[in-house]
Amino acid sequence: MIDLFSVSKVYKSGGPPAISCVNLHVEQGEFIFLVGPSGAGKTTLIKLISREELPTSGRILFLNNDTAAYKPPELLRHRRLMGMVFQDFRLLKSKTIYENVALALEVTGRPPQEIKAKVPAVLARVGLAGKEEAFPSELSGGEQQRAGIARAIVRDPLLILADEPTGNVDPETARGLMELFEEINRGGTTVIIATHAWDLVERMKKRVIALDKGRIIKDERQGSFNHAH
Amino acid sequence: MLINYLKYCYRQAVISLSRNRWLALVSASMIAVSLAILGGFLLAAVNANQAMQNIQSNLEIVVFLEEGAEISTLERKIEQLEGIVHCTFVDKHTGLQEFGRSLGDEALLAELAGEHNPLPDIFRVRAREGELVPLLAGQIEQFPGVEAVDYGRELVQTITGISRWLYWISVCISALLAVGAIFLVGTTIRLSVVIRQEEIGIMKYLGASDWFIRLPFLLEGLTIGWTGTLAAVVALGLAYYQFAALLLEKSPLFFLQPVTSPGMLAAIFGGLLLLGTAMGGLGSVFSIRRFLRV
Repeated sequence: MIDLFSVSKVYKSGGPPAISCVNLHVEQGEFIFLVGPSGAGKTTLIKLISREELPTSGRILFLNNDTAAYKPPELLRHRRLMGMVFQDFRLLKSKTIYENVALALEVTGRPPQEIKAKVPAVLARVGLAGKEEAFPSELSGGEQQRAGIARAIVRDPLLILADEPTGNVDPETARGLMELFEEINRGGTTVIIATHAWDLVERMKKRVIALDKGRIIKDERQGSFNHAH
Repeated sequence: MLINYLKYCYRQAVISLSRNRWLALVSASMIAVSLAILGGFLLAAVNANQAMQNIQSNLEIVVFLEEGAEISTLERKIEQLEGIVHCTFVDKHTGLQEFGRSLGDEALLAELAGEHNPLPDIFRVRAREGELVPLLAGQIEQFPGVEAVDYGRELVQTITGISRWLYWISVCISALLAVGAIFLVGTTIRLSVVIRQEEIGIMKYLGASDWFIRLPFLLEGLTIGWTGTLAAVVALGLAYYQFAALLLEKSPLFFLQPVTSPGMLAAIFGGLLLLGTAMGGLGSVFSIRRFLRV
């Protein structure tokens, strides 16, 4: 599904590389943790895969397409095939939880009937049934992140990219969120999570890619991955 | 899909306009003022032009003849010119009588009669259109036997000059006001963009196309422009209706008749509406281009 060939990323000319000569192969249905200290390159790797950033050298293939060669419609298609989850949730404060999730469908021009049917269903799936009319400020951190996950999965994406999704919640809530990601992955969606939460990573027995100073220092498969797609 | 998208754009534009309603109101007012001034000047120019046409079409070319000029040859040559309606010969005796009647001085008339008559023979020439008068006068002046021609050149030149000044003043003032209005609409849209920057960023992550992000802002600018211009057109229309009714009823001079042609007025008011709406759109296009870079 995703292939990185000798990918490097340098933000500042002459500065240290954020990612250095990374080779990686991700199969559809995998659940991957990206771990490593701050500045190891986890977020850069997420941004390269989501095509928010372009590599300075090397090639990234997504479904066998070179992401650097995308034309605008292909970039749109790329973004529509994935769901993003952020540490700070990035929910719109002025919109209700329903409206926040519905936005993901509205930007692709889905009909109102489909939106009305899908949004409550996905909110129920992430455990937010009955919170449709609440504003983000009225929810706990864990609930806000569940809303963020609902927005990411409402379009049934092939891939979920999550950057420190448990960074702003307590350990118990974090466990609940990870279980939710696991449940999403069981449906066949590939999940890549950048995290500092070692205890959760060790408990979940998934593929772990450890990064340090922009290089992959460990790539270990601790459990089986899902081939449902 | 397109209808859903347009509904979304409309909803976003309405939300944004209600959030920034005061700034939107100022922008719309600015467009209204600038378009009302432009429209006022346009109407004044059109009316001045019509007054000039009225004057010119009533103008007579008076052709003063030299002593011993070939009257019949000259008359034939004048009548053969393109655009002449009629040409009347007035000999010096008839001319003197007319002159005396206009003065009401019988004694002077008696004194100047006969060999002492200082007046020349003349032709009174009428043109089909007022605009042809200066050209025909110039042609007739070249004919042998013609001493001079007169057609109220100074009056025509004065009115033409006034019309021209009116036009340029209106163009300058309107251009300045239009730039100001576009700038204000741009500021309103920029504020909307800044307020919605986070939303725009998230929409990009969600795979929204550039036009999906841009169109609500464009719609917002067009709405501001259209609302402002509509207010200007309604106010100007009412004011002009009053003015035209007054002038039709109590015009002090024959040539001061208002333009009432529905085609002409529709072109002016419709043009203003299009221009104002376009100004609103232009302001938003500039803002989005500069601030979104999507």
